[in-house]
Amino acid sequence: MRCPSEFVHAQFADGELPEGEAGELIAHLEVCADCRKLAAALKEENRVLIRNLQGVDWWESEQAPVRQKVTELVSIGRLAAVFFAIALMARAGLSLITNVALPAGLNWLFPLNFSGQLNWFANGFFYIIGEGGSMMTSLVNEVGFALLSLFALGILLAVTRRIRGIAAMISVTALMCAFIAPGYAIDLRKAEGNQRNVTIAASETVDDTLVVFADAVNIGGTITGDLIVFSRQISVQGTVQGNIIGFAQGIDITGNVEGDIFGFAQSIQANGHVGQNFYGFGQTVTLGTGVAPEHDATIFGANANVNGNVGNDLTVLAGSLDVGSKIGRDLRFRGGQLSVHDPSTIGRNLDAVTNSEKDTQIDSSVTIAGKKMVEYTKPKPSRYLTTRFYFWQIIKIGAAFVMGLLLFWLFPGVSRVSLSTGRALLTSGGIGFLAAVAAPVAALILAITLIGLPIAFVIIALWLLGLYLAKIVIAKCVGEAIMRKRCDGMSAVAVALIVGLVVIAVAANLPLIGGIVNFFLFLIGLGALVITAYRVSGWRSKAEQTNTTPISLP
Amino acid sequence: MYATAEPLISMKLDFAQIYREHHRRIFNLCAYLLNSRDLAEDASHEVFLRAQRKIETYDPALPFSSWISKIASNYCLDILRRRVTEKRLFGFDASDLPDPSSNQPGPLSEMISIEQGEGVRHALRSLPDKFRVPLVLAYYNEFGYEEIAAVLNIPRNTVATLLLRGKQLLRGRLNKEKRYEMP
Repeated sequence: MRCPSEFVHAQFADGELPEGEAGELIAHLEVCADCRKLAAALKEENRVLIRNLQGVDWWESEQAPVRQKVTELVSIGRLAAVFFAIALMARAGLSLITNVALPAGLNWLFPLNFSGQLNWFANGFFYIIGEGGSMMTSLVNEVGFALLSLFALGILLAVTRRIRGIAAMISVTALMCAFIAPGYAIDLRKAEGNQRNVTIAASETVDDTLVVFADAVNIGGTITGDLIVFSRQISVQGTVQGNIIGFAQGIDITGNVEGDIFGFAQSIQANGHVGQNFYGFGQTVTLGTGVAPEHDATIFGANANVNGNVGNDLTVLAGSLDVGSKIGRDLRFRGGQLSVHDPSTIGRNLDAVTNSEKDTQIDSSVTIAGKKMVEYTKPKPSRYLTTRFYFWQIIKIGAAFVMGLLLFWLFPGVSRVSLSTGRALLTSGGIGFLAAVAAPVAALILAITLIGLPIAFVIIALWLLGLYLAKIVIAKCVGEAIMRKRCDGMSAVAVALIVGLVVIAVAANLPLIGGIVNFFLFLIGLGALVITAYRVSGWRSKAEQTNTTPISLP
Repeated sequence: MYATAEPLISMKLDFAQIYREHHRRIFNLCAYLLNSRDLAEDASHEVFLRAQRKIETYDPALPFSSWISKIASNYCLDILRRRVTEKRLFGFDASDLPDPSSNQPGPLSEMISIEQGEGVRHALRSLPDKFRVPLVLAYYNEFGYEEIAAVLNIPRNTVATLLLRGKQLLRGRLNKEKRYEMP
């Protein structure tokens, strides 16, 4: 007899081979050692399967896919390697053939120029306004470089641990080192021992960026880089050639600052020259007569006093503002009380929104070259008393209802979203929060790269759509919860949806807690949407994806 | 009349006990079949509700666990079926035929050698429904071919084919995963 196929063997191992065939196979096994081995192995395989499935809880297998993650990491690494290789070849080829390199202004686009990209990102994030500063850029460079090195290391270790991998790792690290710009020197000082204060004497010059942590900081000398201070009291009489970034209870600047001032403090007093811009966030922010930011001054605070001249615009969001100086261009104010008095001049427009006429004092002697626009915040009548409000609520509910029906009809998967357990609610809320935050950030980063601008627009469009649909998804779940049943048919879904939408509309308009309720419902809905999209889309790895392939039985 | 009503009442009273005894097993079965913890939580809950409603149909001569497993299997398969857009996915096409070249005991050792089981379960989770479901019914539920054929509504021979092909895929996945393991 010929050796039976594995198909026959497998049925035999399962005890499912019809009696006659089983008899033949048993007879064959007596004479064929190979088949005996196969039969024994198949039986053992069945035992292993049974033992592993029945003996352990399913969720323990949920924690297993470490290797899966490794394989995903490997594929990301491969993708990155291919991208870099193509970019490198393109650039090398281009410069060999046509001797054309990327223009200097676009050099940061070069994929291996991590330093350039990081510089760009850093500048984008920290210095959107103004000329950019060395300190943050350098810090971000260092951290970014470390992260990238670790990332490369991880990928290469994951790919292989053989010598080739180590060699590749070293060469990649070397390549990255070659492309990284040297960081700016940083001088770090801390208050030590009994000495709780840090003082830079008038004769002293710090020839790089200075970072200080102390109880009180006194800068009498010259700092050629930036000055970054975390302290209770900061006092600057000397010269800072870079920017000042200060976090303190009190900040007092009488010296000369050639860059920007970013002050975060309870009270900020600036009385010296400011080469660029002034940004003050504090309870009391005072720009003394001696101060003269050459560009803009921006103030957020309870009380703001501006007696020094501002080169360009003065923008203030504060409880009260008192101005007695020359503003180069516009004065913009949003807040409670405004007082503009002699000897003020405003180079262009005055644009203010204050509490009332009584709270607004603008001396007649004040010169305003452009327009004077002053508005008062009016107490609004309760919106709940207008029919207009109810009309629009009904329109909104109707629109959401139609959208919801369309959504559940087009994507039945969405209607299966279940938030019946606390865990599901928490998961959805968490993912919703991440999605709500991450999508705009990702879009911003992409937009900064310019080439990613179209993708950024798509992300923002999807995000906005998600924000709208989130409420619909959650409305259906709320409806189901109220009606205490899972709704599968379209008509049941419609009923649940309309019930949920009405309940949510009422809840979202409750005084005091309405906003919070609305926010959390929206987060949970957005999370549920993201999870559903993840489940039904091709974002998952192929192996997982096949699991959700719709199946049908005859 | 009282004679028949009494066991039913005691059965109902004992439902808390039944739930405690069988919940873990039923939850695991649902999780293996549906491949999702959230869905399995909902499904196992529903299975016990259904069992409570249908308790009159239970034949005490048979083990209770088989009866409730069958309810769970049917319910989960209904859920899987509802995902359909195509017809006959448990029916098989040429690509599903067992790989004749694997008529060697070699690859089996992969599965046997992974005693921790984590690899086996993870590989099982990564299989398409079509192969995972028969494997779970056969080796978790320990259903016979006929029972699986009845539950899935497919010929007995197809059950045998899907099981063999499923195991071959499982071996393949285990083999592949092994390659990514650190030496």
